[in-house]
Amino acid sequence: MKTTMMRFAIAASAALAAVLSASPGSAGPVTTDDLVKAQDNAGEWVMYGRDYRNWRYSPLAEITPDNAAKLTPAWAMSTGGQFGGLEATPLFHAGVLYFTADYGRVFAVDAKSGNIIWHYEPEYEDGFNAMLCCGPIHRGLALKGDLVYSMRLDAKLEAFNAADGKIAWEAKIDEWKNGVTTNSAPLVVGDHVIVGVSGGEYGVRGYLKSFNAKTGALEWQTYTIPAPGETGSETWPKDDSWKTGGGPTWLTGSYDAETNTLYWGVGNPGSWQFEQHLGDNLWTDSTLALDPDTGKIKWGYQYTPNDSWDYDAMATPILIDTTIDGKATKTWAVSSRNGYFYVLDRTDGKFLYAIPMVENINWTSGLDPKTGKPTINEAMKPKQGAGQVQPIVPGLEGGTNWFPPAYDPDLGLFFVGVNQWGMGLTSWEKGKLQYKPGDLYMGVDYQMYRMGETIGHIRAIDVANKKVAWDVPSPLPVFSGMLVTKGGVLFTGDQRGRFLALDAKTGKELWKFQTGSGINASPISYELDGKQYVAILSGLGGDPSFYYSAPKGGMLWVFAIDGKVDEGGAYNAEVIEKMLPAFKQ
Amino acid sequence: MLSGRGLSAATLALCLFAALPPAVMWHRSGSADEALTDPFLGQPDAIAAGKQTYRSICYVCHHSAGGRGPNLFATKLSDERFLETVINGRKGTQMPAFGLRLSPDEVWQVHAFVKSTDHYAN
Repeated sequence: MKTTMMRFAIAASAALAAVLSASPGSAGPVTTDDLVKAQDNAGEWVMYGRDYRNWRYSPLAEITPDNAAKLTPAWAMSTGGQFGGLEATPLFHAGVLYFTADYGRVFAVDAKSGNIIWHYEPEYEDGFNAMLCCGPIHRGLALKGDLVYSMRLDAKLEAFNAADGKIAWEAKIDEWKNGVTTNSAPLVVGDHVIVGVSGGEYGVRGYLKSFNAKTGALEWQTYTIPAPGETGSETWPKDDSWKTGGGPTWLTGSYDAETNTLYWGVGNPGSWQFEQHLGDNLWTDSTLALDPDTGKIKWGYQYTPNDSWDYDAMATPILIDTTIDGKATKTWAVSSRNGYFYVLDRTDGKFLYAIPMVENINWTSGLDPKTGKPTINEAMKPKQGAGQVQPIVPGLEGGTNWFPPAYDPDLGLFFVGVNQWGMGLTSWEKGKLQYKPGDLYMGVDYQMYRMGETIGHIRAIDVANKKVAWDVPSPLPVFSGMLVTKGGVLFTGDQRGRFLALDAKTGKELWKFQTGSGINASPISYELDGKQYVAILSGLGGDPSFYYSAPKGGMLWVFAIDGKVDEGGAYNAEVIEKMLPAFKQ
Repeated sequence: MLSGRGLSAATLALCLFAALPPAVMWHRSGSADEALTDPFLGQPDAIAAGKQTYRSICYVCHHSAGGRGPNLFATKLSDERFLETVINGRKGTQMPAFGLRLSPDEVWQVHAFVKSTDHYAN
C-alpha cells in the first residue's frame, strides 16, 4: 500500500505549503444535503451517477450542438501502471478530479493544472490477480464529508482523506480467496457507505453491505440469495445450491430520498448450469428495493428466472418520473443484459412495460405484457452434456452491460449503448463441475459470435412513448457510458478510441476526438472558473479486451471550448533524488 | 505423480530462477543446465485432468484456441518456460501467477493437455 503526495520539483518547501493550503479539495466537506441535491449542483459531479437518480445529466449548457465542433483538449494525463483498462466515472468536487484506474488505483488531480495531488497504489497478496476473471478494472469512488471512499479489488473498503490521501480507515468486506472481489463505486446514503460485490462466476452468495461513513463499522449485510425459510427460498431447490447461488451486486445502485428507498441490481445465478439450481432463483437477475438504514428488502422484481445465459440484471436502475399511458408515474428504468429495456413502478415494483433493445432475441419467445415474465425458449437452454446451443441472442456480454446509460429530462430520452451479438453455450457433463472456493464456478463453455457487420449501437429510447427515438450504429461493440447535457449534447466513446459528441435530439455526430485507446469508461462534465469541461478516461481493458486486439492505454482526457490549463509551476514529475542528486562541490 | 526429473512437487517448490518473485519458486536438482520437461506428455489420465483444469481456470482468457491470452495449443514455449509462466505469471501482461492455486503437477497436466490437441473442445 502506498499513498503518495506529489512533491513538486520546482517549488521550495515553503511555497509547497502555500500551494497545498490553497489547493483544491479544501472547499468544504460533502454533506448529506449535497448528495441529496446533487442534481442542482450544476458545476460538480459528486457521485457515480451524478445524482441519486443516476441520470448522468449535466445542467451545464455552454457546449451546444452549434459549438461542439470547437471542443479541444485542455489537458491530459497518463494513469500509467499496467494498462489493465479504465472503466471509471471520475468525480469532481471543489476543483479536484477524483477517479480510479486499473487495479483500484486512486487519483486526486487538480483540475486546473492537471497535476496529481495524491494517488494510491494498492498492493495485493500473491496469487490475488488469478482471481480477476474479467480484468483488473475499477469503476469509481464515492465522496462524503472530507473522505473519499474506494474499494480495493481484494474486497476491502478504504476511506481516504480527500485533502492528502491518507487512509482514515479501512474495513474488510470479505475474503478474496473465496472469490469475492470489489470494483464498483460505493453509494453513500446519509452516513451509510453501501457496497456491492463481484464474484458471481466464482460461486459467491451475493450481498450488499453497509459501513458507517465515519468509522467504517459494519452496519448491515443483506444477501441477495435467501437462506432456507427466508422469503424467496421457495424458488431454490431444497439443497445447498443457495450457498453458491451467485446474485452478485457489482454495480452501484440508486436512491430515492423521498421514500428512503435504495434500488440495486443483482447479477446472475451460479453456476451457469441451470439444472444445479432448478427454480426461479430469487433474487438473481433482479432489481431490489431496500431500506438503506437496515438493508431490509422491501420488494424486488426478477427479469430472467433460472438464468443459464449470464444475463445479469446488475444494471443501475435509473429513477425517472414520467408519464406512462397518460398517467404520471414514478419509475425505475433498467436496460438489462437479457436484451430488453424495462420500465417499472418504483413505488411497488410493478411491471409497466418492456421493449427489446436488440433484434432477434431468442432466449424467450416473449414477455407477458402484464407482468413482464418471460416465456423461456427451452431450445436455447444449454443442458448438461447435450452439446452446444447456438446462436443464442443476445450473447453473454448482453444486449447491453455495465456501462451506464443517461437520461435527459428535457427530451425524455434514455441513452444507452447496446450490442447486437450472439453466443454458443456448451454445458459440461453432469458431475464435472465441483465448487471449489476461488475457482471459476460456471460449468459452461462459451463462444461469442458476431451476428452481422455492426455490433454496437448508441441508442435513444423515448421512455414515455415506449420506442427507440434514434440509433447510431458503431461497427465494434459499445462499452462506454453516456453523458447528456442541458446544452443538448450527448457524450460517449467507442472501441476505436474516439470520444464522441452527438446531438442528443437526433444522434447526429457533432465532433470526435481520437484518444488513442478504446473507451470503456464514462464521461462527466463540470464547471471550473465559469467554463464547462468534459472529462473521459480512455484505455482498452476488461471484457472488450477479450474480443479486440488494439492499443492499450491509460489516459484521462479533459476537453473544453477554449479551455485553460494553469500549471502553476508544478508538474507531474519529480526528481528521483538518489539517481540525480544535486551536485555539491 | 512425479514431476520433472523424477522430483516431487514438494522438492520443486524452491527456486528455479534467481530473478523470479518469491511467490512460487522451485529448485532443480542435478545439473543446472538441465531443462525441466513435462512428465505427463501423452498420458491420457493426465491429459483428461489437464483438460478439466484448463476449462476451469485457463479457458476464460485463452478460450478454445486463444483469446485475450495467447493460443496455448500452439505454444512455442519450452516445457520449463510454460511451467514457469503459469506459476509466476508474466509481468507486463494480465497473465497472473497461479503458483498458489495450481501445483506444478497440475500445470504439467494442463501442458500435457494443450500439447495433445490443437484446440479445446467440450
